[in-house]
Amino acid sequence: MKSVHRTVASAALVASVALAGCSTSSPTYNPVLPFDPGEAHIASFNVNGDAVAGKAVALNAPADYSNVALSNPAIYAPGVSPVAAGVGGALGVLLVSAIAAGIESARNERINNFLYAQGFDAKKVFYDALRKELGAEGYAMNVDGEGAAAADAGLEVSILQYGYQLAPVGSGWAPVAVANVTAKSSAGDVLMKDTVVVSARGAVPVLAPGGSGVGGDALRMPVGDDLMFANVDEIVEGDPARSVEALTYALEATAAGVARLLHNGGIEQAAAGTAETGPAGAPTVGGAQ
Amino acid sequence: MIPLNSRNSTAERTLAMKTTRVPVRALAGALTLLAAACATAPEPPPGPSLTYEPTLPCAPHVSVATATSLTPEDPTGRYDVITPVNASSSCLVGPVGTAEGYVAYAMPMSGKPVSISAGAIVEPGRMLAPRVFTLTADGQVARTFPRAEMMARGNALAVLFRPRPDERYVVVSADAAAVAGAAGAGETPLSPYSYEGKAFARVYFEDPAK
Repeated sequence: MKSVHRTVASAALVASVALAGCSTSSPTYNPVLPFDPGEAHIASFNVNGDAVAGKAVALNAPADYSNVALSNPAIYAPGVSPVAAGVGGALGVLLVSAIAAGIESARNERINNFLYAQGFDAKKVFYDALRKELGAEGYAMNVDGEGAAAADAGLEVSILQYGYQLAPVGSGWAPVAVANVTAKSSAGDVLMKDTVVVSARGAVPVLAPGGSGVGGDALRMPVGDDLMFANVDEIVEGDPARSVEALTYALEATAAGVARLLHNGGIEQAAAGTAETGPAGAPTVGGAQ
Repeated sequence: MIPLNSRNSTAERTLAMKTTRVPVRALAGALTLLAAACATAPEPPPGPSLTYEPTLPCAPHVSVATATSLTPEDPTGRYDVITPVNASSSCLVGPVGTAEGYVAYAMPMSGKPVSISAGAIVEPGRMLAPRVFTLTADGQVARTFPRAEMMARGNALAVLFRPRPDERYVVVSADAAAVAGAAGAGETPLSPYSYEGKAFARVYFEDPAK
Protein backbone atom coordinates (compact mmCIF):
# COMPACT_ATOMS: atom_id res chain seq x y z
CA MET A 1 0.00 0.00 0.00
CA LYS A 2 2.85 2.28 0.94
CA SER A 3 4.57 1.55 -2.33
CA VAL A 4 1.40 2.53 -4.16
CA HIS A 5 1.39 5.81 -2.30
CA ARG A 6 5.03 6.34 -3.10
CA THR A 7 4.41 5.60 -6.75
CA VAL A 8 1.52 8.01 -6.92
CA ALA A 9 3.52 10.66 -5.10
CA SER A 10 6.46 10.15 -7.40
CA ALA A 11 4.26 10.35 -10.44
CA ALA A 12 2.71 13.55 -9.14
CA LEU A 13 6.15 14.98 -8.50
CA VAL A 14 7.38 14.09 -11.96
CA ALA A 15 4.22 15.48 -13.51
CA SER A 16 4.55 18.67 -11.50
CA VAL A 17 8.16 19.17 -12.47
CA ALA A 18 7.27 18.43 -16.07
CA LEU A 19 4.48 20.97 -15.88
CA ALA A 20 6.86 23.53 -14.44
CA GLY A 21 9.26 22.73 -17.24
CA CYS A 22 6.54 23.44 -19.75
CA SER A 23 6.04 26.89 -18.25
CA THR A 24 9.47 27.92 -19.49
CA SER A 25 9.11 28.79 -23.12
CA SER A 26 12.04 28.36 -25.45
CA PRO A 27 13.79 31.42 -26.82
CA THR A 28 12.30 32.74 -29.99
CA TYR A 29 14.58 33.23 -32.95
CA ASN A 30 14.65 36.85 -33.88
CA PRO A 31 17.81 37.75 -35.80
CA VAL A 32 19.25 41.16 -35.14
CA LEU A 33 20.17 43.37 -38.06
CA PRO A 34 22.66 46.21 -37.85
CA PHE A 35 21.72 49.56 -39.33
CA ASP A 36 22.47 49.64 -43.02
CA PRO A 37 20.81 52.42 -45.00
CA GLY A 38 22.49 51.25 -48.20
CA GLU A 39 22.68 54.00 -50.76
CA ALA A 40 19.88 55.99 -49.15
CA HIS A 41 20.72 59.17 -47.33
CA ILE A 42 18.63 59.25 -44.18
CA ALA A 43 18.47 62.50 -42.29
CA SER A 44 15.21 62.06 -40.40
CA PHE A 45 13.08 59.41 -38.74
CA ASN A 46 9.39 59.26 -38.06
CA VAL A 47 8.99 57.62 -34.65
CA ASN A 48 5.83 55.95 -33.40
CA GLY A 49 4.18 57.86 -30.60
CA ASP A 50 3.27 54.86 -28.47
CA ALA A 51 6.73 53.59 -27.58
CA VAL A 52 6.00 53.93 -23.87
CA ALA A 53 2.72 52.10 -23.76
CA GLY A 54 2.79 50.40 -20.37
CA LYS A 55 3.28 51.34 -16.77
CA ALA A 56 6.46 50.88 -14.78
CA VAL A 57 7.00 47.48 -13.22
CA ALA A 58 9.14 46.24 -10.36
CA LEU A 59 10.22 42.65 -10.78
CA ASN A 60 11.87 40.62 -8.09
CA ALA A 61 13.23 37.99 -10.44
CA PRO A 62 16.71 38.17 -11.94
CA ALA A 63 16.61 39.43 -15.49
CA ASP A 64 15.67 36.78 -17.97
CA TYR A 65 14.95 38.32 -21.31
CA SER A 66 15.40 35.10 -23.24
CA ASN A 67 12.01 35.41 -24.82
CA VAL A 68 11.72 39.13 -24.69
CA ALA A 69 11.02 39.58 -28.37
CA LEU A 70 7.60 38.06 -28.06
CA SER A 71 6.88 39.05 -24.49
CA ASN A 72 3.91 41.20 -23.79
CA PRO A 73 5.00 43.86 -21.29
CA ALA A 74 1.51 44.10 -19.91
CA ILE A 75 1.46 40.45 -18.93
CA TYR A 76 4.14 39.50 -16.51
CA ALA A 77 4.15 35.80 -15.76
CA PRO A 78 6.14 35.09 -12.61
CA GLY A 79 8.55 32.22 -12.94
CA VAL A 80 7.48 28.94 -11.41
CA SER A 81 10.33 26.93 -10.02
CA PRO A 82 10.45 23.13 -10.15
CA VAL A 83 10.86 23.17 -6.38
CA ALA A 84 7.59 24.98 -5.95
CA ALA A 85 6.01 22.56 -8.33
CA GLY A 86 7.42 19.62 -6.43
CA VAL A 87 6.11 20.86 -3.12
CA GLY A 88 2.52 21.20 -4.09
CA GLY A 89 2.07 19.48 -7.40
CA ALA A 90 0.02 21.14 -10.12
CA LEU A 91 -2.20 22.83 -7.56
CA GLY A 92 0.90 24.17 -5.85
CA VAL A 93 2.13 25.59 -9.14
CA LEU A 94 -1.10 27.50 -9.55
CA LEU A 95 -1.13 28.59 -5.93
CA VAL A 96 2.47 29.81 -5.98
CA SER A 97 1.81 31.58 -9.28
CA ALA A 98 -1.26 33.29 -7.89
CA ILE A 99 0.52 34.41 -4.73
CA ALA A 100 3.53 35.63 -6.70
CA ALA A 101 1.30 37.50 -9.13
CA GLY A 102 -0.53 39.12 -6.23
CA ILE A 103 2.69 40.29 -4.58
CA GLU A 104 3.97 41.50 -7.92
CA SER A 105 0.79 43.41 -8.58
CA ALA A 106 0.88 45.10 -5.16
CA ARG A 107 4.53 46.06 -5.66
CA ASN A 108 3.86 47.52 -9.09
CA GLU A 109 0.99 49.53 -7.68
CA ARG A 110 3.28 50.98 -4.99
CA ILE A 111 5.84 51.94 -7.60
CA ASN A 112 3.31 53.55 -9.89
CA ASN A 113 1.61 55.41 -7.05
CA PHE A 114 5.01 56.76 -6.09
CA LEU A 115 5.82 57.80 -9.66
CA TYR A 116 2.41 59.43 -10.04
CA ALA A 117 2.96 61.39 -6.83
CA GLN A 118 6.29 62.57 -8.19
CA GLY A 119 4.71 63.69 -11.44
CA PHE A 120 6.97 61.38 -13.38
CA ASP A 121 6.14 61.40 -17.09
CA ALA A 122 7.89 58.42 -18.63
CA LYS A 123 6.72 59.23 -22.14
CA LYS A 124 8.04 62.79 -22.02
CA VAL A 125 11.35 61.65 -20.54
CA PHE A 126 11.83 59.09 -23.28
CA TYR A 127 10.82 61.21 -26.28
CA ASP A 128 12.79 64.24 -25.10
CA ALA A 129 15.84 62.03 -24.69
CA LEU A 130 15.30 60.33 -28.04
CA ARG A 131 15.03 63.66 -29.86
CA LYS A 132 18.25 64.80 -28.23
CA GLU A 133 20.14 61.57 -28.89
CA LEU A 134 18.99 61.26 -32.51
CA GLY A 135 19.93 64.89 -32.98
CA ALA A 136 23.42 64.13 -31.73
CA GLU A 137 23.64 61.47 -34.44
CA GLY A 138 22.52 64.02 -37.01
CA TYR A 139 18.91 62.93 -37.39
CA ALA A 140 15.75 65.00 -37.20
CA MET A 141 12.77 63.35 -35.56
CA ASN A 142 9.04 63.42 -36.20
CA VAL A 143 6.51 61.70 -33.97
CA ASP A 144 3.52 60.01 -35.56
CA GLY A 145 4.07 61.86 -38.79
CA GLU A 146 3.99 65.30 -37.24
CA GLY A 147 6.94 67.41 -38.27
CA ALA A 148 8.18 70.17 -40.48
CA ALA A 149 8.88 67.79 -43.33
CA ALA A 150 8.23 64.19 -44.21
CA ALA A 151 10.77 61.85 -42.64
CA ASP A 152 13.15 59.75 -44.71
CA ALA A 153 12.57 56.54 -42.76
CA GLY A 154 10.44 55.06 -40.01
CA LEU A 155 11.53 54.09 -36.52
CA GLU A 156 9.38 51.76 -34.44
CA VAL A 157 10.29 51.64 -30.76
CA SER A 158 8.49 49.38 -28.33
CA ILE A 159 9.51 49.62 -24.69
CA LEU A 160 8.54 46.21 -23.41
CA GLN A 161 9.48 46.89 -19.84
CA TYR A 162 10.76 49.72 -17.71
CA GLY A 163 10.97 50.12 -13.99
CA TYR A 164 13.11 48.50 -11.36
CA GLN A 165 14.35 44.98 -11.02
CA LEU A 166 16.22 42.92 -8.48
CA ALA A 167 19.73 42.39 -9.76
CA PRO A 168 20.68 38.71 -9.77
CA VAL A 169 23.92 39.16 -7.86
CA GLY A 170 22.21 40.33 -4.70
CA SER A 171 23.34 43.89 -5.08
CA GLY A 172 19.84 45.27 -4.77
CA TRP A 173 17.31 46.78 -7.09
CA ALA A 174 18.34 48.56 -10.25
CA PRO A 175 16.50 50.59 -12.88
CA VAL A 176 15.79 48.53 -15.95
CA ALA A 177 14.38 48.95 -19.43
CA VAL A 178 13.98 46.75 -22.48
CA ALA A 179 13.05 48.06 -25.92
CA ASN A 180 12.67 46.49 -29.33
CA VAL A 181 13.68 48.79 -32.17
CA THR A 182 13.07 48.51 -35.90
CA ALA A 183 14.01 51.03 -38.57
CA LYS A 184 12.36 50.78 -41.97
CA SER A 185 12.86 52.65 -45.21
CA SER A 186 9.97 54.49 -46.79
CA ALA A 187 9.67 51.48 -49.10
CA GLY A 188 9.29 49.19 -46.10
CA ASP A 189 12.71 47.55 -46.17
CA VAL A 190 14.11 46.71 -42.74
CA LEU A 191 17.16 48.90 -42.22
CA MET A 192 17.79 47.83 -38.65
CA LYS A 193 16.24 45.49 -36.11
CA ASP A 194 17.63 45.18 -32.62
CA THR A 195 16.94 45.34 -28.91
CA VAL A 196 18.22 47.68 -26.20
CA VAL A 197 18.50 46.47 -22.63
CA VAL A 198 19.33 48.75 -19.70
CA SER A 199 20.36 46.65 -16.74
CA ALA A 200 22.70 46.48 -13.79
CA ARG A 201 26.31 45.63 -14.34
CA GLY A 202 26.98 41.98 -13.75
CA ALA A 203 23.41 41.09 -14.55
CA VAL A 204 24.26 38.37 -17.00
CA PRO A 205 23.01 36.57 -18.87
CA VAL A 206 20.75 39.09 -20.52
CA LEU A 207 18.79 37.88 -23.50
CA ALA A 208 20.90 34.78 -23.41
CA PRO A 209 19.65 32.21 -25.88
CA GLY A 210 21.10 29.46 -23.71
CA GLY A 211 23.53 26.77 -24.53
CA SER A 212 26.02 28.84 -26.41
CA GLY A 213 27.62 30.80 -23.64
CA VAL A 214 28.02 33.77 -25.92
CA GLY A 215 25.35 35.77 -24.20
CA GLY A 216 22.58 37.89 -25.48
CA ASP A 217 21.74 39.62 -28.67
CA ALA A 218 20.71 42.96 -27.25
CA LEU A 219 22.75 46.10 -26.96
CA ARG A 220 23.33 46.45 -23.27
CA MET A 221 23.48 49.79 -21.51
CA PRO A 222 24.97 49.50 -18.03
CA VAL A 223 23.55 50.89 -14.81
CA GLY A 224 25.99 52.37 -12.33
CA ASP A 225 26.22 51.24 -8.74
CA ASP A 226 25.08 54.69 -7.64
CA LEU A 227 21.61 53.95 -8.97
CA MET A 228 21.03 50.80 -6.93
CA PHE A 229 18.47 50.44 -4.16
CA ALA A 230 18.48 48.02 -1.24
CA ASN A 231 14.78 47.25 -1.56
CA VAL A 232 11.47 48.55 -2.84
CA ASP A 233 10.93 50.51 0.38
CA GLU A 234 14.02 52.54 -0.42
CA ILE A 235 12.66 53.28 -3.88
CA VAL A 236 9.24 54.49 -2.73
CA GLU A 237 10.06 55.82 0.72
CA GLY A 238 13.70 56.88 0.40
CA ASP A 239 15.05 59.86 -1.49
CA PRO A 240 12.41 60.41 -4.18
CA ALA A 241 14.76 62.45 -6.35
CA ARG A 242 17.18 59.55 -6.53
CA SER A 243 14.44 57.05 -7.36
CA VAL A 244 13.19 59.29 -10.15
CA GLU A 245 16.74 59.88 -11.34
CA ALA A 246 17.27 56.14 -11.63
CA LEU A 247 14.18 55.59 -13.74
CA THR A 248 14.96 58.66 -15.82
CA TYR A 249 18.35 57.15 -16.49
CA ALA A 250 16.78 53.87 -17.65
CA LEU A 251 14.63 55.68 -20.22
CA GLU A 252 17.37 58.07 -21.31
CA ALA A 253 19.81 55.21 -21.69
CA THR A 254 17.21 53.41 -23.81
CA ALA A 255 17.02 56.46 -26.06
CA ALA A 256 20.81 56.65 -26.19
CA GLY A 257 20.92 52.98 -27.12
CA VAL A 258 18.41 53.47 -29.93
CA ALA A 259 20.50 56.32 -31.33
CA ARG A 260 23.64 54.22 -30.89
CA LEU A 261 22.12 51.50 -33.03
CA LEU A 262 21.48 54.08 -35.74
CA HIS A 263 25.03 55.32 -35.72
CA ASN A 264 26.20 55.23 -39.27
CA GLY A 265 29.73 55.50 -40.47
CA GLY A 266 33.12 54.98 -39.02
CA ILE A 267 33.59 51.59 -40.63
CA GLU A 268 36.83 51.96 -42.42
CA GLN A 269 37.54 50.56 -45.81
CA ALA A 270 40.99 49.15 -45.36
CA ALA A 271 43.25 49.04 -48.35
CA ALA A 272 46.33 47.44 -46.87
CA GLY A 273 46.86 43.94 -45.60
CA THR A 274 46.80 40.52 -47.12
CA ALA A 275 46.17 37.14 -45.68
CA GLU A 276 48.36 34.16 -46.12
CA THR A 277 46.68 31.24 -47.74
CA GLY A 278 47.16 27.53 -47.21
CA PRO A 279 50.12 25.56 -48.47
CA ALA A 280 48.44 24.95 -51.80
CA GLY A 281 47.81 28.62 -52.28
CA ALA A 282 44.05 28.53 -51.86
CA PRO A 283 42.49 29.33 -48.53
CA THR A 284 41.31 26.27 -46.72
CA VAL A 285 39.08 26.18 -43.74
CA GLY A 286 38.70 23.92 -40.78
CA GLY A 287 35.64 22.04 -39.68
CA ALA A 288 32.79 23.47 -37.70
CA GLN A 289 33.02 23.31 -33.97
CA MET B 1 16.01 -18.34 -10.89
CA ILE B 2 14.72 -16.26 -8.03
CA PRO B 3 11.06 -16.89 -7.22
CA LEU B 4 9.98 -13.29 -7.09
CA ASN B 5 6.38 -14.21 -6.40
CA SER B 6 7.29 -15.96 -3.16
CA ARG B 7 7.28 -13.46 -0.29
CA ASN B 8 8.99 -15.99 2.02
CA SER B 9 11.84 -16.65 -0.28
CA THR B 10 15.25 -16.12 1.30
CA ALA B 11 16.64 -15.24 -2.07
CA GLU B 12 14.03 -12.53 -2.50
CA ARG B 13 14.72 -11.07 0.93
CA THR B 14 18.42 -11.04 0.16
CA LEU B 15 17.74 -9.32 -3.16
CA ALA B 16 15.44 -6.85 -1.45
CA MET B 17 18.09 -6.02 1.13
CA LYS B 18 20.67 -5.60 -1.57
CA THR B 19 18.47 -3.25 -3.53
CA THR B 20 17.86 -1.29 -0.35
CA ARG B 21 21.51 -1.10 0.54
CA VAL B 22 22.73 -0.06 -2.87
CA PRO B 23 20.85 3.27 -2.91
CA VAL B 24 21.97 3.95 0.66
CA ARG B 25 25.57 3.33 -0.33
CA ALA B 26 25.15 5.36 -3.46
CA LEU B 27 23.63 8.15 -1.43
CA ALA B 28 26.47 8.03 1.07
CA GLY B 29 28.96 8.09 -1.77
CA ALA B 30 27.22 11.04 -3.37
CA LEU B 31 27.20 12.92 -0.07
CA THR B 32 30.90 12.22 0.39
CA LEU B 33 31.61 13.51 -3.08
CA LEU B 34 29.44 16.53 -2.42
CA ALA B 35 31.27 17.25 0.82
CA ALA B 36 34.61 16.85 -0.97
CA ALA B 37 33.45 19.21 -3.69
CA CYS B 38 32.38 21.77 -1.11
CA ALA B 39 35.70 21.47 0.69
CA THR B 40 37.61 22.31 -2.49
CA ALA B 41 37.54 26.03 -3.09
CA PRO B 42 36.89 26.88 -6.73
CA GLU B 43 39.83 28.25 -8.60
CA PRO B 44 39.68 32.00 -9.05
CA PRO B 45 39.03 33.13 -12.60
CA PRO B 46 42.16 33.93 -14.61
CA GLY B 47 43.30 37.52 -14.55
CA PRO B 48 44.25 39.56 -17.60
CA SER B 49 47.33 38.69 -19.64
CA LEU B 50 49.14 41.98 -20.08
CA THR B 51 51.94 40.50 -22.17
CA TYR B 52 51.82 37.94 -24.94
CA GLU B 53 54.37 35.22 -25.55
CA PRO B 54 53.14 33.05 -28.41
CA THR B 55 54.41 29.55 -28.93
CA LEU B 56 53.95 29.86 -32.69
CA PRO B 57 55.99 32.20 -34.87
CA CYS B 58 54.24 35.46 -35.64
CA ALA B 59 53.38 36.23 -39.25
CA PRO B 60 52.84 39.66 -40.75
CA HIS B 61 49.49 38.56 -42.16
CA VAL B 62 46.57 36.42 -41.13
CA SER B 63 46.71 32.79 -42.19
CA VAL B 64 43.33 31.47 -43.21
CA ALA B 65 44.67 27.97 -43.77
CA THR B 66 43.31 26.87 -40.42
CA ALA B 67 40.29 29.15 -40.31
CA THR B 68 37.44 27.90 -38.17
CA SER B 69 34.27 27.22 -40.08
CA LEU B 70 31.07 29.08 -39.31
CA THR B 71 29.06 26.66 -41.45
CA PRO B 72 26.81 24.51 -39.26
CA GLU B 73 25.18 21.27 -40.35
CA ASP B 74 21.84 23.00 -40.28
CA PRO B 75 22.27 26.60 -41.40
CA THR B 76 19.22 28.05 -39.68
CA GLY B 77 18.79 30.17 -36.58
CA ARG B 78 21.86 31.23 -34.68
CA TYR B 79 25.21 29.53 -34.84
CA ASP B 80 27.89 30.28 -32.26
CA VAL B 81 31.54 29.41 -32.16
CA ILE B 82 33.67 30.32 -29.15
CA THR B 83 37.43 29.98 -29.48
CA PRO B 84 40.08 30.50 -26.80
CA VAL B 85 42.85 32.92 -27.67
CA ASN B 86 46.00 31.95 -25.81
CA ALA B 87 49.73 31.36 -26.25
CA SER B 88 49.15 28.55 -28.73
CA SER B 89 46.82 30.58 -30.96
CA SER B 90 47.84 31.79 -34.39
CA CYS B 91 49.93 34.91 -34.05
CA LEU B 92 49.90 38.11 -36.05
CA VAL B 93 52.14 41.15 -35.94
CA GLY B 94 49.53 43.79 -35.28
CA PRO B 95 49.27 47.42 -36.40
CA VAL B 96 51.51 48.64 -33.59
CA GLY B 97 54.15 45.98 -34.26
CA THR B 98 53.17 43.80 -31.32
CA ALA B 99 52.46 40.09 -31.39
CA GLU B 100 48.73 39.40 -31.14
CA GLY B 101 46.90 36.10 -30.97
CA TYR B 102 43.97 35.77 -33.32
CA VAL B 103 41.23 33.51 -34.63
CA ALA B 104 40.13 33.51 -38.26
CA TYR B 105 36.57 32.39 -38.93
CA ALA B 106 35.42 31.29 -42.37
CA MET B 107 32.00 32.70 -43.12
CA PRO B 108 29.18 30.25 -43.85
CA MET B 109 29.36 28.30 -47.07
CA SER B 110 25.67 27.40 -46.96
CA GLY B 111 22.46 28.94 -45.74
CA LYS B 112 21.80 32.65 -45.86
CA PRO B 113 23.60 34.59 -43.14
CA VAL B 114 21.84 37.91 -42.58
CA SER B 115 24.20 39.24 -39.93
CA ILE B 116 27.30 38.24 -38.01
CA SER B 117 28.41 39.26 -34.54
CA ALA B 118 32.08 38.86 -33.66
CA GLY B 119 34.22 39.93 -30.74
CA ALA B 120 35.16 38.78 -27.26
CA ILE B 121 33.38 37.14 -24.36
CA VAL B 122 33.38 39.10 -21.12
CA GLU B 123 34.89 36.87 -18.44
CA PRO B 124 34.80 37.51 -14.68
CA GLY B 125 38.44 38.52 -14.33
CA ARG B 126 39.41 39.50 -17.83
CA MET B 127 38.37 39.67 -21.44
CA LEU B 128 40.18 39.51 -24.72
CA ALA B 129 40.62 43.06 -26.01
CA PRO B 130 39.04 42.42 -29.40
CA ARG B 131 40.02 43.81 -32.78
CA VAL B 132 37.74 42.68 -35.60
CA PHE B 133 38.23 42.86 -39.35
CA THR B 134 37.07 40.94 -42.42
CA LEU B 135 38.99 39.46 -45.33
CA THR B 136 38.13 38.71 -48.91
CA ALA B 137 38.61 35.25 -50.41
CA ASP B 138 42.13 36.18 -51.52
CA GLY B 139 43.03 37.49 -48.11
CA GLN B 140 42.69 41.20 -48.69
CA VAL B 141 41.37 43.14 -45.73
CA ALA B 142 37.85 44.15 -46.66
CA ARG B 143 36.72 46.05 -43.57
CA THR B 144 38.12 46.92 -40.19
CA PHE B 145 35.74 47.83 -37.44
CA PRO B 146 36.97 50.66 -35.26
CA ARG B 147 36.67 50.29 -31.53
CA ALA B 148 33.87 52.83 -31.48
CA GLU B 149 31.73 50.36 -33.43
CA MET B 150 31.92 47.72 -30.72
CA MET B 151 28.93 47.29 -28.49
CA ALA B 152 28.24 45.46 -25.27
CA ARG B 153 25.82 42.71 -26.18
CA GLY B 154 24.85 40.30 -23.47
CA ASN B 155 28.11 39.15 -21.96
CA ALA B 156 30.18 39.99 -25.02
CA LEU B 157 31.80 42.99 -26.64
CA ALA B 158 31.18 42.69 -30.33
CA VAL B 159 30.59 44.27 -33.68
CA LEU B 160 27.47 43.35 -35.59
CA PHE B 161 27.62 43.54 -39.37
CA ARG B 162 25.90 42.31 -42.48
CA PRO B 163 28.37 40.25 -44.48
CA ARG B 164 29.11 41.62 -47.92
CA PRO B 165 29.41 39.42 -50.97
CA ASP B 166 33.17 39.85 -51.18
CA GLU B 167 33.85 38.97 -47.54
CA ARG B 168 34.89 35.41 -46.76
CA TYR B 169 36.56 35.58 -43.36
CA VAL B 170 36.11 37.48 -40.14
CA VAL B 171 39.11 37.75 -37.85
CA VAL B 172 39.11 38.42 -34.12
CA SER B 173 42.53 39.30 -32.78
CA ALA B 174 43.90 40.78 -29.60
CA ASP B 175 44.19 44.55 -29.67
CA ALA B 176 47.58 45.39 -28.20
CA ALA B 177 46.80 49.10 -28.09
CA ALA B 178 43.66 48.47 -26.06
CA VAL B 179 45.49 46.18 -23.66
CA ALA B 180 48.12 48.87 -23.19
CA GLY B 181 45.35 51.36 -22.57
CA ALA B 182 46.41 53.71 -25.36
CA ALA B 183 43.17 53.32 -27.22
CA GLY B 184 41.02 53.08 -24.16
CA ALA B 185 41.29 56.61 -22.83
CA GLY B 186 38.04 57.39 -21.11
CA GLU B 187 36.80 53.90 -21.72
CA THR B 188 35.79 51.54 -18.96
CA PRO B 189 36.20 47.96 -20.15
CA LEU B 190 33.49 45.50 -19.22
CA SER B 191 36.31 43.43 -17.72
CA PRO B 192 40.10 44.09 -17.69
CA TYR B 193 41.47 43.89 -21.22
CA SER B 194 43.77 40.99 -21.91
CA TYR B 195 45.84 39.46 -24.71
CA GLU B 196 44.25 36.14 -23.89
CA GLY B 197 40.63 35.23 -23.46
CA LYS B 198 37.77 34.03 -25.60
CA ALA B 199 36.92 35.13 -29.11
CA PHE B 200 33.56 34.33 -30.61
CA ALA B 201 31.52 34.64 -33.74
CA ARG B 202 27.78 34.29 -34.01
CA VAL B 203 25.96 33.92 -37.30
CA TYR B 204 22.31 34.83 -37.69
CA PHE B 205 20.83 32.94 -40.57
CA GLU B 206 17.75 34.16 -42.33
CA ASP B 207 14.59 33.61 -40.37
CA PRO B 208 12.81 30.85 -42.30
CA ALA B 209 9.48 32.28 -41.12
CA LYS B 210 10.09 35.48 -43.04
